[in-house]
Parts: sequence; structure tokens; C-alpha cells
Amino acid sequence: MADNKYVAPGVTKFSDHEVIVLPNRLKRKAITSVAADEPDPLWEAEEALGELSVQFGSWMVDECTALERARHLVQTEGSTAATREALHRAAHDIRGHGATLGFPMAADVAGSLCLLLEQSSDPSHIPLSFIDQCVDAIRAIVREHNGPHADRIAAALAQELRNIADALMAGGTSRDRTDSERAGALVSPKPAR
Amino acid sequence: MVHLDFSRLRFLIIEDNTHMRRILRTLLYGFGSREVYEAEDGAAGLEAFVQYIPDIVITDWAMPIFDGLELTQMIRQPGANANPYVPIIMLTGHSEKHRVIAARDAGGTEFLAKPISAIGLYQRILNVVVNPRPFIKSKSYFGPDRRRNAMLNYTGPERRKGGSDMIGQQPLLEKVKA
Repeated sequence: MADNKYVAPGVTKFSDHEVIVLPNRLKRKAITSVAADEPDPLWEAEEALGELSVQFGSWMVDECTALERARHLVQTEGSTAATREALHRAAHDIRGHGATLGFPMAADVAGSLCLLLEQSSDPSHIPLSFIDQCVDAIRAIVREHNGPHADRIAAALAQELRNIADALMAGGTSRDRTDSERAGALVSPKPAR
Repeated sequence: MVHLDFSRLRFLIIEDNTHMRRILRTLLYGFGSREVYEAEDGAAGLEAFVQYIPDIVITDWAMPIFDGLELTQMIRQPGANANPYVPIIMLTGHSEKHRVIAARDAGGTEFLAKPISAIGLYQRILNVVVNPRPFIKSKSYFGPDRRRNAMLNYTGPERRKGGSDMIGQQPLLEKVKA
């Protein structure tokens, strides 16, 4: 299908760079005029995504399981560069995919964890209790997704965890508690029905 | 009315997350694509790029082995592969400005921050097909022109010289003359 025929590009040379203008091969082969009754590709794609979306809940459960596995590594092997990398990768996946899969608040919580792992001056000192809170909160948000007031509780939880992450990055003791105390003092992440 | 016939385009998706690959594939098939190849890390992606010679590459940024930025830099090697000019759409969970600049400086053609939407992906693909930018080859950069618009008021580093030269504010008279 790909048109591999070579067409020489136009090259304009300057003293310190060249500007290369390529023949627009893709436009030539893929842009066509469309009949009025042609299906709208965007609508078709949205429809296909809608059909796929029935699986999004179970996909998020898979993502949570991967995150818990990564947390388990941190708990059992300690906070090393390798275990933090695994934790970051799992959290980053949720940060990136959570909203696409319909769990934006889980994505926000994962974002707080990623932020701390990425920007903390000493990531080995990120309190394990904060990691626990984030992982448990994401699991709870996914589990209680369809419950009453789930969105409101999830938003409050995400905001609280973001505040803690910000405080930890700012040096921690922005209020009257230490980082670990503050991280550990978070309310239970299981949203009440 | 302009219509993009996706069935005439060959795509390569490089993404380590199986769910996200599925979503991207579903969207592309929904648009009408018929040829969609996949790879789950940067190394496999480079191999697939050489093997399938895709028209458009869609790659995640954060991946094992080597990431989307490194992959882009490997593809953007003049003479090293069949199509160093291939449009590369970079997907990422990061949307901070410095990330966008890093993707652009690596030679990425378009940047798409997650969450992925059908319209966001469609627009990026349409843009690389309908409005391709010229390529710039300098001693420090090879990739799509990073200047999307002619900015007469631009002040900042002179990137094409690859050194520390700066472009300063042009006097009004000079601008008028230009």
C-alpha cells in the first residue's frame, strides 16, 4: 500500500542549514474528494471506541494490579532506582490512560505520585505511606466508580493527595506535621457510599 | 470537501501498553485504515519501521528499552533508513511546555497529549498529510521545521547555527524594511 517510489526533495542551501521541501506523497495518495453519503470517519471511530469502552473498567483493574505489583516491589525490595522506575512506569500508565478509559480522577492521583517520583529532590525518601495512599486511592476510585457520589469523593481524594504531594515537594512541613505524618494521616481512601 | 482516505495509509503504532495500542488501533480502523502495524517498545518499533516502511508513525514517549524521543532521533538520521522524513506523532501523558519542546527538538512532527480522543488523533493525522512542514538540516538538528510561522518579532536562541548565538529584537525600521 505504501508508495515507495523515490521522488527527490527540493533542497535550498544556506550557510548554516538546508531547507528540504519534500513532494507531498501522502496528500497525493490519500486526499480524495468525498461523496455526500460517505460515512463520517470521526463518527465511525467514536462508535468503534464506544463499543470497546465496555472493557475499560476491566482494563483499569489490570492497570491497578500492575501498580500494586510495583508497590509490592518497593515494599519488599526497598526504594531503589529500579523499584521506583517500575512504580513510576505503572503510575505513568494510569496517569496517561486513566482519563481515556473514563477514570480521570484515578489519572489525577497517579499524576500526583508521578510528579513526586519525577521531581522530588530525594525520591528515596518519599514516604511509603504516601505511595500506599495513592495506590489504594486509585484502586478505590476504580472499585467505587459507579457508586453514589463517587465522582465527588474521588475529586476530594485526588485534591488531598495533590496537596500532600505539593507539600512534600516544597519541603514537607508546610503545616504543623511532618511529611510522613501528613501522608499517613490521610483519611481512608475507600470512599464511603 | 477534502477527504482523507485512511485505507491508503500505512500506520505503525509503537506503544508499550496493550490497552492503549488497542484503543489506537480501534480509532485507526474506525477512520478507515486497513494497514496498522504495532510494536510494544522502541527497539521493536525501529525494527518494524524498517520492515514495514509506514507512512505515519504514532509513538508513545515513555517506553522500555528506548523511549519515543530516542526512537525519533534514530529515525531522523538522514541516509540511515528508507524514510527519515516520516511523520511522527508523539503521544504522551506529559503536557508541560518543556516536554513539548523536547519532542519537537527530537524531530517529532506532532504532539498529542493524553487522554486520547478520536478528534485529537484525526486532526494530527490530517495535519501531517495536508500541511507537511519542510525539513531543516543543520549541524545540530534534522527534522521538521520548528518554526511553524514566520515570526518577525522572534527573539531568542539562533538554533540553526547550533551555537550560542541569539537573535535580538529587530529595530522597527529594519522590520518595516523587511
